[in-house]
Amino acid sequence: MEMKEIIRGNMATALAAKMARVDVVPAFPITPSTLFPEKISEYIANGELDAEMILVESEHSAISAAIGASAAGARVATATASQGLALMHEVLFIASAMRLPIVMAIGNRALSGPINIWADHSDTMAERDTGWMQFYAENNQEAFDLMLMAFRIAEDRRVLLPAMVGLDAFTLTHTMEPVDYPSQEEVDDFLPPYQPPYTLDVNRPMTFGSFATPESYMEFKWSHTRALEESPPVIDEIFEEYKKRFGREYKRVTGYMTEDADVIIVAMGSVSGTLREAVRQMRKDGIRVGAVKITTFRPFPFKEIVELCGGAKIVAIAERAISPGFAGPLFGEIAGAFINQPSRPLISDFIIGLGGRDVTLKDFREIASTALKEAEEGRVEPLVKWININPEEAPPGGE
Amino acid sequence: MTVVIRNTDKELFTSGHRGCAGCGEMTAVRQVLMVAGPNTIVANATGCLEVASTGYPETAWAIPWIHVAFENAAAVASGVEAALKKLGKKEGVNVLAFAGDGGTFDIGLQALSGMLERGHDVKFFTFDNEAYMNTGIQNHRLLPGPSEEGEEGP
Ligand code: SF4
Repeated sequence: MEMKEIIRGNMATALAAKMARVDVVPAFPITPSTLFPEKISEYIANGELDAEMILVESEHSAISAAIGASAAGARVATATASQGLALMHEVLFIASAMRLPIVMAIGNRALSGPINIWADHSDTMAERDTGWMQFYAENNQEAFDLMLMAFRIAEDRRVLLPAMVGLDAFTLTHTMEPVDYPSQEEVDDFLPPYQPPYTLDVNRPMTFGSFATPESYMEFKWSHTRALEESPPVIDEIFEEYKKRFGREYKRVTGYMTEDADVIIVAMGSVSGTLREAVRQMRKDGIRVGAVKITTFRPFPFKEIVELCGGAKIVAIAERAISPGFAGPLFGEIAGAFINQPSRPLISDFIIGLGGRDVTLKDFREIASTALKEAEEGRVEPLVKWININPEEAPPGGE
Repeated sequence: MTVVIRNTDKELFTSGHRGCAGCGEMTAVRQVLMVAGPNTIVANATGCLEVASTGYPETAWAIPWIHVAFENAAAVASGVEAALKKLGKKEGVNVLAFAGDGGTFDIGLQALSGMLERGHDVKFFTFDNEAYMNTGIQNHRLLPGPSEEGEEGP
């Protein structure tokens, strides 16, 4: 039985964690994710959720306590953003290396400096090499669904890896949207209790987090990497099962009007809806443009990107993060996806919406027309274009 | 708060580890575990004890043991304790944390403060050898006075 509520993105992820019957939630407040632990503590206080909440003194301790609790056999969730995620950095690698299926909602927010609390993907992009899975929601419905599915995927014995579910700061974390959700009974049926293969159990002593010399370190890294590489079929299977049970379809990457497109714009997160609308409008004007939305950034959908975008003249990446001295991180991934293809589109990079700057229909028109011009000229120069930037307003640097 | 302490004939911190001959820390840990008994879970900070006792694929620990990083043994132990409580497995199980003096009072101070304030049922053991010894005798903030002759202490 489907129910509907009009809720904020943080409430959607908290609701999913509650319906997943999380055992332990270690949490530390940070804008824009604070409503997640607030809702969890409310659920516990109301008797709607039987869980232990650990009010830690930092995000570093939040993820450390999450590891301890997960290793002891608990289903664990938490939420953070930006600086909080960056503070967790060293520990994130250890959570995934221990193969602990912790699920974490991220209110995608810009990293300091300057300090800024608005939507941006720099925080999770900076954690792309930590060995976690990464999912990005377009709206609050996706935030709920992906959060719930993240537990199932993460805990699957073929995967056993932690997962981040990204939802854009404010645009999703704080915005009220209608969200459909199944009954508790249906969720219990979809997500049985966590059955960890290894735990800190006095009846079966095990050593977690041992010291690895050059003789064994690479094998640990290899097996961890393989688990991530081999996870796509499991993710697809669980997405498919979710669709059968609850009627909502998910794909690791979704194409829109890509078949005959000359230019395909690739985006992630909340701008994907704006992008599809821009594509609809441009199509009316006869512009052959398509859109691709990436939901699963880790494991990266190399094959699917090539299949969806291989026929275009140019792929325009619209990304909410920058790797200074290189390009946007997504550019490197997509260029990598195409590098060994016998023929490939030009690949052009656009930086959009950093620190919560609005991304509008007009911006996507500009991206499409710039990219089409590049395709006509047969060269992408410069590689990285900043959309909506005012160089005259930029603060002075060193001379 | 109940702590169950049992004597045991079985070695819970076994020989064959790589601690220096005569190392006080290894001896102390062995004795702590003899008192704590087999129903014990240990969270260990990075340091000599962790390095010397767990070179993969060997381990000196005959009880469940976890190491995550340097500054967070108290936070890891908090998580273990909370999980055991929630899962109904806490009764009769000791949760211990081991850290050096640096891992306790210097880099580990924040996590320890949080753990103590929250009141977790965890016993935290510090091996105080008066410096960051594993990296080669560097000073930290617990030192009472000058760490080297002629140098101002903290
Ligand atoms: S260096 Fe480490 S193993 Fe050696 S005696 Fe000191 S504490 Fe023990």
